[in-house]
Amino acid sequence: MSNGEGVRAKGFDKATVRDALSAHAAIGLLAGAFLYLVCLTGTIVVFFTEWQRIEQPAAPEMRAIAPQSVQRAVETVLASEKGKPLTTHLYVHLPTQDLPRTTITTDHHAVHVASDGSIAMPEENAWSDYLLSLHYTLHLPSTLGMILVGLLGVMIVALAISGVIAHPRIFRDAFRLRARSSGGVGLADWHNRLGVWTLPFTIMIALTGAMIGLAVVTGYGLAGSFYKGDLEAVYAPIFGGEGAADKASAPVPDMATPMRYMQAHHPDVHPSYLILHDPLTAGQHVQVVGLHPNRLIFGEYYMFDAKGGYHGKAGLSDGALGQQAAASAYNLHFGNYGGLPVKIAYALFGLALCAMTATGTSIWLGKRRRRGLDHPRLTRAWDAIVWGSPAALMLTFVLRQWIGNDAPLVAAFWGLLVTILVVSLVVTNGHRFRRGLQILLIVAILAGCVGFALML
Amino acid sequence: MTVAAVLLLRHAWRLQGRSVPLLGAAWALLVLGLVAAGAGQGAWGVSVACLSLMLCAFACLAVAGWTAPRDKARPLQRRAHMLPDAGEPSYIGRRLLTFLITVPLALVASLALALAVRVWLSANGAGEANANVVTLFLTPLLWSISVVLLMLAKRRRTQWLMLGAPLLVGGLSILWGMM
Repeated sequence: MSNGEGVRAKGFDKATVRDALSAHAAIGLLAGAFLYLVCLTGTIVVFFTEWQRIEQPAAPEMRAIAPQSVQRAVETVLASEKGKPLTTHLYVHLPTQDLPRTTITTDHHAVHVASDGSIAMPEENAWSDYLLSLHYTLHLPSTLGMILVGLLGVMIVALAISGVIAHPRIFRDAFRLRARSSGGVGLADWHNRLGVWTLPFTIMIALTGAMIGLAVVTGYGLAGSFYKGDLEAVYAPIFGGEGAADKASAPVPDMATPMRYMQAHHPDVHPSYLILHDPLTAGQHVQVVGLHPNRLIFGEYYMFDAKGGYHGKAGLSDGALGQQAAASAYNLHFGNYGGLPVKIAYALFGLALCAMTATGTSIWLGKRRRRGLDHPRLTRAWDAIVWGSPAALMLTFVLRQWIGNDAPLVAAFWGLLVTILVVSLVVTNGHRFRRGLQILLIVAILAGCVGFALML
Repeated sequence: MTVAAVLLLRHAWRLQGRSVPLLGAAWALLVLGLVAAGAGQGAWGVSVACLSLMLCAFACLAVAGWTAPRDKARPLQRRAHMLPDAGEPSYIGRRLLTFLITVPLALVASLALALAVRVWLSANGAGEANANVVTLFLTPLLWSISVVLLMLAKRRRTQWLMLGAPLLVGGLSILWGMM
């Protein structure tokens, strides 16, 4: 955050306030581009299920599916994988309000299921997955990427803390918005007002994101210190443990009985997933993920054996507070706990976070320019990130519509972004360059809309 | 209730003088709203109430932005002292060391302290799930706070002390927890 004049420290001495601004700027500049990318993709990925529906509008949709239809579909999918290595897990996504589709995913492929249990078509949501992967790992190898994104979450919390220390009047001025003032004041006011009012959201998003991203590091720390290196043992008390593996072969398990059990014994819980562990082995067992209304938890795990016998639940809904907190982190981060209104609010605050990240660097560049230290290349490169990355994202969406599910989305995105960055270093007119990127973004959005309309 | 609190805060902060009763009432209303939401709908209720108050504040900001006059305010001059001015040395080595201290080393120190808290929680009967989840949340939180504190530290020696203390506490606690 950056502030105007007349800063008078209240609670912190002047030197601390000055050092906090220095720290705030240093963190913001160090992580700025990646922070912006993670905030931008996070804002778009709030509508993950909606993007999936947009990407493949022809997939069969239904409000519910009969247990016997699910059984039939699972049998068909497992039969189709004969000759391949056994999948370690089989996931059945059941129709929910957000995504009214039945989809079966194994280690080898994913298919949409019609309401009668027949296989309708392969699942094709490469763009949604690529977007999620960009947000989760920046397309890096998963462990490295998640740690890096976790680090960015930590940096956002640090930015929020240093921003509050660096601006002693930030709460008092919370509604003071000189939006049209010159000399960088308008930009700074936008930055600070959005910052103060999104503070609860920012800290919550960043902390849950950092927790998810750094779970590998902390998990290994816990495993190494207390569980003799066994990472699974760290998570077993939280989410429940995996059953003992028994690789002897076994017939297709009963997937219908757990669904019927849920209908009979937990009518207020909506099953969203059936997870079959170690399919076609003697150790196979089924978990039902049940959605609890008006809760932050992503669901509760209800455990069943291969014959459909009930074996209790993990305790995410009513177990230890830690279990409930861990199960709430995902929904709190992604905003899928209150339907479309909550998602729209998350997208709005996500956009505010993008605006804060974008204006932060612009404010710093503006201050230096006014002191006679102009950085035209850096300014254009920052414009390339701010306007070029959403344009590149939308262009990959258009590419997905033209070429199909096999479009090289990751290569296209990074290729486009690097090209835009290189162009930013070559061109000389910064104003025209920025305007050009803004036009490119608008054209890409319009092309995406036209493409979607043609798909319907 | 939280929406009313935001509107009252807006009114109180716009007054020329500081109105302690109004500000107090606004903050009390905000806390009360969150408590009521929590009592009625638990953590879900608190989250939705927070979203409502932020949306209300955004609406107020939108009005403020829309009605803001075009003027020539005094340009911003506060310096962040991030990059050297022309002719100043760049201190690359010093900056790199600061990066090492605040990023990887601070992570290790934060993890050590979080693990120490885990040992303490376990010893006091917090339960395995609670202890592990607190550690998972605490590591990034401690790291964030460390980054800020380390960057505010005026001397390098203070930074080393700030890293060394949690490492020592964490190391000893883990050893004690393993015994």
